[in-house]
Amino acid sequence: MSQQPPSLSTFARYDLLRRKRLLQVLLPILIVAIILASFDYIVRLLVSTPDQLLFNLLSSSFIFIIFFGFIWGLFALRRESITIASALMVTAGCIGLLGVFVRHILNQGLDPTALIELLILPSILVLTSLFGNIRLLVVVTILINVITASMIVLAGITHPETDVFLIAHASNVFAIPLAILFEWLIAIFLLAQQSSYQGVLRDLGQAFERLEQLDELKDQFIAHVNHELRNPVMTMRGSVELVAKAGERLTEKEREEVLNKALRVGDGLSHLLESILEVRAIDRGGVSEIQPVSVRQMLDDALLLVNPVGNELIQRDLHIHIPDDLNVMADPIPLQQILTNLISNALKYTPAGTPVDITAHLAPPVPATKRGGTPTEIIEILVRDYGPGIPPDQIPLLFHRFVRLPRDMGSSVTGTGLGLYLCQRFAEAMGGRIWVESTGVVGEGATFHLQLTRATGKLPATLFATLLSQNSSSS
Amino acid sequence: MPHSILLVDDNVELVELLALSLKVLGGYIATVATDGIMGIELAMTSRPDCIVVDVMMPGLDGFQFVRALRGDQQTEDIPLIILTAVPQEKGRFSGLASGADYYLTKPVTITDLVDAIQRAIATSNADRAERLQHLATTDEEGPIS
Repeated sequence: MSQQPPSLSTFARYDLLRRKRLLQVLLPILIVAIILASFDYIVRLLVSTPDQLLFNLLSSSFIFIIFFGFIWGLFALRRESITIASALMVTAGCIGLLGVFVRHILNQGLDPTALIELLILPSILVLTSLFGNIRLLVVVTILINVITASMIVLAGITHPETDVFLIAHASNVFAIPLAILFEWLIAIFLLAQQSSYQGVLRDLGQAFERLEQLDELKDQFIAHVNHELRNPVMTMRGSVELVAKAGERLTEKEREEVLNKALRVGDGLSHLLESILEVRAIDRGGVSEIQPVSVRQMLDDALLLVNPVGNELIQRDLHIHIPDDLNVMADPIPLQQILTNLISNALKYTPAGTPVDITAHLAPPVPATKRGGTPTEIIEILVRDYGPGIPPDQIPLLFHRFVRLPRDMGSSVTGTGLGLYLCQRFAEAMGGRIWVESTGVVGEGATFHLQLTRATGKLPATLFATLLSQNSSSS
Repeated sequence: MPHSILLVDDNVELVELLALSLKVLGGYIATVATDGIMGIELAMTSRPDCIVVDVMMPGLDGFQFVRALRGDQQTEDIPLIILTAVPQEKGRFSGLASGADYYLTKPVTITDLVDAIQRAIATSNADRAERLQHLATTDEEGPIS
């Protein structure tokens, strides 16, 4: 990606900007309306008689509450305090308009004009949901409920003869709950809408964070593969160049060594390519055929791949304790690959002269998931080395793909960061699991655990033939 | 008398091949070290005519190796070539600023490596000082490829 993808905070900022823009668009209109209303009431104040003065003063004060509420809201908006700005404006609007409503009810009763003013109250709820937050919406809703109930009761008391469609003195008991129910329905709808909107923002933010992680993993993988390819490519090309340009000046032994070096390095490159393709394959379909397989036979095959007969490069003390009759339910090829990976890692990342222990045993069974079912028997295979171990805080990184531990990046040990990821995916695809234990103390090494379902009964004859043919082709 | 070259790289397969190739194609006497510490010891005891060093090594990395040699009077004027898998855009300026004469990115042909060794051996101390001065005073990378 050429640009940094936005994070969740970017979407939170977008939400704030959205509300700020709404406020900025509507504010001029509201301010003009308030100014006109204020002018109207100032004129009334000036022309009112002494007995009307107090009443009109009270009415006008509500208008000025709205006016000053919006002024303070403007100041808060300029200072980016969107929540405070919207709280001030909406609360001031609530109090002011409700005050006007009070005045109207006291003066003229609950007539259609009062009902229109009553319907303005839900509009305040809509404004609150647009500008404010969920808590503010709940507070304003409750405030409106209280005032609505009080006003309808007051209308019934002061004007018992009032009877406007649903509202009658005798039926005030229904009007109040209906009005409150109406306001809460609007509030709940607005709450659900706001939650849904915030949920979408959150999901988008998480999706972009995941994209960011994948992009970083991709860069890590490219860096690893780039580094892992350069040395073998130079070795292979250099070998060919040397033989091509000066083959006749090399001794027979030197020429053979150079060509064998090129072959070994070429094998390593093939292995790297296979690992990359296996990641793709396992992402698509996992393992193919689960069947009973012998743990001992799989281990022997893996050892042949890791340490071919006649190969003097790897000399290590292997302690193997695996009963011959331990069988597991697995796909043979991925299981062999897991064991090859684990043993190869144990040999690569530990000093020469340190032993490697490979054991297998019956582990505690897994309880049945359904009532009356039988527990699942588990075989656990352990591969333990006595090398530098793995720092405990880095253990969670081990099974991620394309990730190599920081200490291995500058080491001479080659790797793509795919081996253990593939081991985990294969194990899980076969219904098993794999994990590692290590204290990180040099000399105590690490122990890799692989658990698979035990296979009961004898292995089928055809499977032996398959295993024998694999053994002969790999040796 | 043939020039002596010290090769410092933890990749055993490659460094053995380079030693043989430099001997056959360049007529050099090549010595091998598989880590930075061993390389410094050999540099001080044998005083090679040129050193080719990798960057990504356990313990002492290539940049630290170059700075260590440039900081010692016995080894400060030995021609140094960095031969590394770290791409040019990431490590070239650091490599040259640490005091190396050349920064080569793997894979390179043996012929190019021999050519760089010859040019490095021909670089005088005055040329080296001028290049470091240029690197220190500008944002541009050194002129040498």
